[in-house]
Amino acid sequence: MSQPAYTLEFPRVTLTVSKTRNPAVTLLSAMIYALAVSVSRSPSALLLASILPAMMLKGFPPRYLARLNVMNAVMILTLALTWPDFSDGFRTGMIIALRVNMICVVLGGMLRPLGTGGMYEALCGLRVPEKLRVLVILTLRGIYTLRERYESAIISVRLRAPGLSGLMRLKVFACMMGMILLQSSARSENMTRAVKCRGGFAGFMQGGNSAMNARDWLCVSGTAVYAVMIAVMNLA
Amino acid sequence: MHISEGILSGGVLAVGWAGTVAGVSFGLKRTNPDRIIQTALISSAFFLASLVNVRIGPSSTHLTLLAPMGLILGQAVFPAVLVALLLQAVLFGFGGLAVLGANTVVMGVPALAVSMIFGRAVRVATGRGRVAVLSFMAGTLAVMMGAGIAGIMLWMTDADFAGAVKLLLVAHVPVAVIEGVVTAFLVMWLKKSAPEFLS
Amino acid sequence: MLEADRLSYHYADGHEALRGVSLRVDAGEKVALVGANGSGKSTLLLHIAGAVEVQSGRIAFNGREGSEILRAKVGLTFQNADDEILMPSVIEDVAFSLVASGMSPSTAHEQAGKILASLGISHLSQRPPHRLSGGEKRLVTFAGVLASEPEILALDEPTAGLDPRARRRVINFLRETDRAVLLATHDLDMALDVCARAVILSGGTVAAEGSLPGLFTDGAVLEANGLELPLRYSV
Repeated sequence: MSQPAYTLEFPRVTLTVSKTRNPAVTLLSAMIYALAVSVSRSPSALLLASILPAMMLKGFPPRYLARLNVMNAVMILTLALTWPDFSDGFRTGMIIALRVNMICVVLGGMLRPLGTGGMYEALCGLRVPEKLRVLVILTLRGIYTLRERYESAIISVRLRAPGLSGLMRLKVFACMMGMILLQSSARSENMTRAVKCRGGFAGFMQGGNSAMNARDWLCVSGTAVYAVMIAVMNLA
Repeated sequence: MHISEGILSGGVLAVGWAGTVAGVSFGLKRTNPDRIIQTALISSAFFLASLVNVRIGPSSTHLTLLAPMGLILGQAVFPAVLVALLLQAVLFGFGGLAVLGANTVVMGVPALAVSMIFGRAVRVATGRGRVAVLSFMAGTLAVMMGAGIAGIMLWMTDADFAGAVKLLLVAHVPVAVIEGVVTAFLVMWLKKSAPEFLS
Repeated sequence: MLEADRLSYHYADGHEALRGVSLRVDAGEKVALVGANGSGKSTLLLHIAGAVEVQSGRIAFNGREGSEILRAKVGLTFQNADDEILMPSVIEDVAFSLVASGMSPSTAHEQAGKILASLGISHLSQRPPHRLSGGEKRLVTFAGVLASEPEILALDEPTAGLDPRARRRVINFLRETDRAVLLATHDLDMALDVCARAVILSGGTVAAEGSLPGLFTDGAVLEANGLELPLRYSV
């Protein structure tokens, strides 16, 4: 059987809310760590920064890391070949690859358990503007409701035009997208009516129940201290 | 054209975030609450479209669809891009958090620029040929602009990235052509089926 | 209780969806609204729920006009449940209108929990909506409208796409509720199980009106309006 013209690569998502810590704390801590590591260049700073991902590495899906490092290998080779000095480029690539691995392990370990509900809680906790929060919720909702439409459309094309190739493939993709865009717009009209009938946009403001307590602030402070230590090591 | 975590310098990350805050504030201010729902659902349609792996010859690609997003969402495109990238990072583990600001600028600025440069012209254009040419130009420009902005950020991080930047720009040329073609087909379809959608 | 008088409505593209429709629903009454596709059922429900502005005619609830009062007193569910399930979890979605009315989220969630329990779907409270079956989504939308304590339930095709068991749960819910129900449906057998009266719409006008089961045994009237005898009469 020939390769399909289109495939929808929808990754697995955690759907449950983590109850163990405040989602806003998790998101903030992850962001602080990512920023600190992003700007680290010295070996000692990177060594210190590697403590957290080392603790989280157990249980991290090895296939994801493997795929990530295949891409890193391409990046290292590209930098080595395009840098003015080969060895400098190679070293830069290696440092970047190390940073990428560390950040991805920590972000994956901290953020994926948040799930859809946890992410919204985090945005509420961080006082992200209301319009943006509503945009996040509804975009997420739209992704899951439209996913089936895309999958059905792709299957339909596969059955009705198995030999699709070249420009036709791009044209059909564009038509598929156009149809789904129009359906989304029509659905949004009904959703707007539903929101109005159910009391308006204020109904979205349900998150942020988890106000940051002393333990949460301690956690964020701890991450900040860790980040400062990494920064100091970097400057040393 | 996403930039991965761990590449950009602190200064460039800060510039990226500043640009994102400005762009998102501008976009949200211009989007009235009734349009938020439509913006969200259209964004989700684009998000899913970008997850579709389209086979091109022996390889395959994911399309960014920057130009169609800009032409359809207009000034609301910046917040939509931020939300899409945030969802990718938090839920799906693609991209990153620290570099979210920079990536939003890399994708949002071209989409907004295309909307401003080509939006009106595409809306008022008559004749399939003219519509196709304008949309194709919008699609290719958006991708090359995005690659250009990413290149500038890399160069600002370290001038020695210059070689890699040149490679990045050259590598995006075929992608830009493909995106131009898809944008042209999409806009022609919309002009025929639902011209009010582009307004 | 609810009175619609000579409602007319046309969409932006000029399509006339309603042409002088008059309708009355009394407290506790269950009325079926039937008609072929495009007959104006959904548009009428949108008017009754205060979701669209009246262009011509009037709708009043206990003599009071205006979309605000209608939104407060009428609970509308859409044909496609995905159009109205908005939040990342079921409990948050059910609490939506409570929070919108000014209730604190924690109190709203408590209330929502009670409503879910009354429908026997407490186990779904933390479930994300896209993990729900069609029947479960439908029950969640019922819970969502019940939260605002409407006096009339306006339901647009509530059994569309449901399996027989889920359909039976919906029918049982509608039979047991003491609220007035205005039920737009193609499922004439369900209408017979739930409603005492029916209104047939055709081309945006009221073509026939009468008590059930009488109206649905008249094959000629049904056929003239794009409908067919319910299964229980046609077998």
